[in-house]
Amino acid sequence: MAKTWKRLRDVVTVASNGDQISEFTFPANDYLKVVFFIKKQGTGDMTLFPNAITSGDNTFTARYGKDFGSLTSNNNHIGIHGNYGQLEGDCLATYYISNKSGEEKLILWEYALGASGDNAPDSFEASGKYTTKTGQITSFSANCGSGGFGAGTWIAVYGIVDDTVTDEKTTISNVEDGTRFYETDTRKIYRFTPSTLADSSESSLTDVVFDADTMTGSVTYSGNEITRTGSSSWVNGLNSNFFFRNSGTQTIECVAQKTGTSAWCLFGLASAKTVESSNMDDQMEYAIRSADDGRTWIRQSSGNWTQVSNTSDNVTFKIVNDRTTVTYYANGSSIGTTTHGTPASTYYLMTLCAQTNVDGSYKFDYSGDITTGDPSKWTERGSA
Amino acid sequence: MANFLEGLRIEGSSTLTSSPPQTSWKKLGSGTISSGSATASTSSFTAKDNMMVLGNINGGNGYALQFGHSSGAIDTDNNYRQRHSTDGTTNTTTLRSDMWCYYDSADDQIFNVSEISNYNGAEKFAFMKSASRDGTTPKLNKTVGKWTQTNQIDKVQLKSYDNVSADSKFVVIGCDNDESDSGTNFWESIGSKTLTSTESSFSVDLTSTKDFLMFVFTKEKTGGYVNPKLAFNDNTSNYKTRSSDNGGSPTDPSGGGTANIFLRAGEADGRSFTVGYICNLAGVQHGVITDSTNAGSEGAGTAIDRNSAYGWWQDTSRITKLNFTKTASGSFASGTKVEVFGGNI
Repeated sequence: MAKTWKRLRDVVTVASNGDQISEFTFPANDYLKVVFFIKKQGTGDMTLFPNAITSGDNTFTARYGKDFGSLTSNNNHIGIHGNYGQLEGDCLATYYISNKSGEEKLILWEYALGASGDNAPDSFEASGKYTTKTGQITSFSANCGSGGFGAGTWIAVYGIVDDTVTDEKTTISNVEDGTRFYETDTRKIYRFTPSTLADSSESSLTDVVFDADTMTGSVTYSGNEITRTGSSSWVNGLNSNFFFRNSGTQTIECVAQKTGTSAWCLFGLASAKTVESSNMDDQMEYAIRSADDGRTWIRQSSGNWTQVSNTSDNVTFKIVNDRTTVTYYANGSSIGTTTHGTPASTYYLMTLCAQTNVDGSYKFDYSGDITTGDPSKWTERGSA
Repeated sequence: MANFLEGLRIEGSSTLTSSPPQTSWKKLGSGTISSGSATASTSSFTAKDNMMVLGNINGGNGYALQFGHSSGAIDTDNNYRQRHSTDGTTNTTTLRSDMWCYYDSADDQIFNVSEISNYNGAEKFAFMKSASRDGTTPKLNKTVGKWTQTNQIDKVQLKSYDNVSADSKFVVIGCDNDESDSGTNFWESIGSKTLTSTESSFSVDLTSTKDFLMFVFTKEKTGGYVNPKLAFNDNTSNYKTRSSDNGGSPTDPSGGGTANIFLRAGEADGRSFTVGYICNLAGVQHGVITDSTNAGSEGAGTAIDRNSAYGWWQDTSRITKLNFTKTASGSFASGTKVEVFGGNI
């Protein structure tokens, strides 16, 4: 097998006379074929809207005509426009779309339609483009004037897909500890380690356990307390040995005694484990940053750091995420909130501390639904 | 597939390849009008919501479709209506006993592609496109047709109005709106190319020979105008093109142009997108049906063009390679992309 055309999502069907077609999404694809069968209901023009662009700047241009006549241009409008209201009856509409990211989207479409019974059918031929170059078309909605579509109208979207290639050993289930996998094409040998993942919940603040394997830079810590870091740069830090599951309220607390010189503490929720780089503070989605002189910033939804009211030098910070709203506290008082959409499936506690010469003290606690341990894995053990 | 051995040992590959879901058009039926006959029907097939018919008629007189439902007889009553354009001449016909798409009785060969709705409870609509030729003279023909029956089509008949001069074949493909992931799709990839550098021409070798080809082609350009043209098997003779720009009267390319099919997808100075079908049946000349859009300058304030180019490669060799060339001063830019699919009767 190889590439072929595939239906990209379930067909969308209009349930009741007069309904419009609400936005529905599908996976991105470089080429789209859209088959749209319209049961005539209203009398208005029919327009297919990519990516929910139903108003605002005119980002479409087209040329179209009916009944095999000449095609006239219609520049600067919204949506893949159909002039359906000038035509009659049910309609088979077929669209082909070049849907390349970074370029304008080019569209060819045509209708065969007509009033029922003895009436001769009409033709409609068109081409057009959606001039937004960024990204690809990944959704459609459609309107048919004020009268909407007839019940039973449906729209199907197809795209070109290729074979799926996966690592075979990752597809095998019920593997026992220590199983040996020999890759016949690469001659590599792997050993299997089962998952050690375990779920638990803490309803009250509990000492964070750090994961030494995630350390970047140099951090001195004992239990849940960090006392020294290797430099004043934001490159010294580590993760908790757990991640928050996508349930319940997630709370992390830092009791910061910033007695050091140029002492900074940054901590927050990160959707992935720390990745070493020259400046790592942007890896936290929701976080607090505090300097030894009392200046404090919060970071909301991976945005910029926003300075909030100064607080005292030694302070207890807390971040509470109920998975709808994130609230930031200093000594029990809110210093900011942010609302976010669908939360990440996992959040790690991440901290970066920076100071020179004199030890500080940063103690971390948490509460919430967590998972500890490691997923199953295959580890390379040589080759044959 | 992984091989499970004794002693907690497994052997397998670093890569496991799985086929994409087979949820689009599949072959429903086919037929052949034998030399000296005028009609051929498919066997009854499982009705599908969406249909296409691809066919070729040699000689005879005309190309028409008729349908049957509920495994009954082919409907030859006046239940068909149509609007057609025969090389630019338009007319309508109601109360017909078939729907046709061709030029006239002098046609020596007709290649047709029809998209047909087959939704239960609604009248059936077809958009038909035919490249026809009288000797070496090509014609560009389009029809929208309607079958007033509301039952689903489960049988198709291909019809000429006189006996054909040589076996004339067609295939019916289709898919349901909830087509299950089973069997094998009709359109299989047999060629693909994405340019990674600027080229003045390029080709796509086909991995297998199929009776009908379908391709999508996005042209990126650099420099001046790029007017793409299509040839086959590195052969640069015996081509004919008939094209219509923006619905205007079809014309032959200026200067004759027998070295390739003129896609007309570059007369405006911009990117272009072409969808095409090719008849690649054995022993017959090869009809080509394409529609293109020319984007022109970027932005929504510039008119875009639509061009239909139908043509013939008047050679009976099976097509194994698509050659894309161009005229004008520009070149195909990196990112130019062609996907070629094929299917057998």
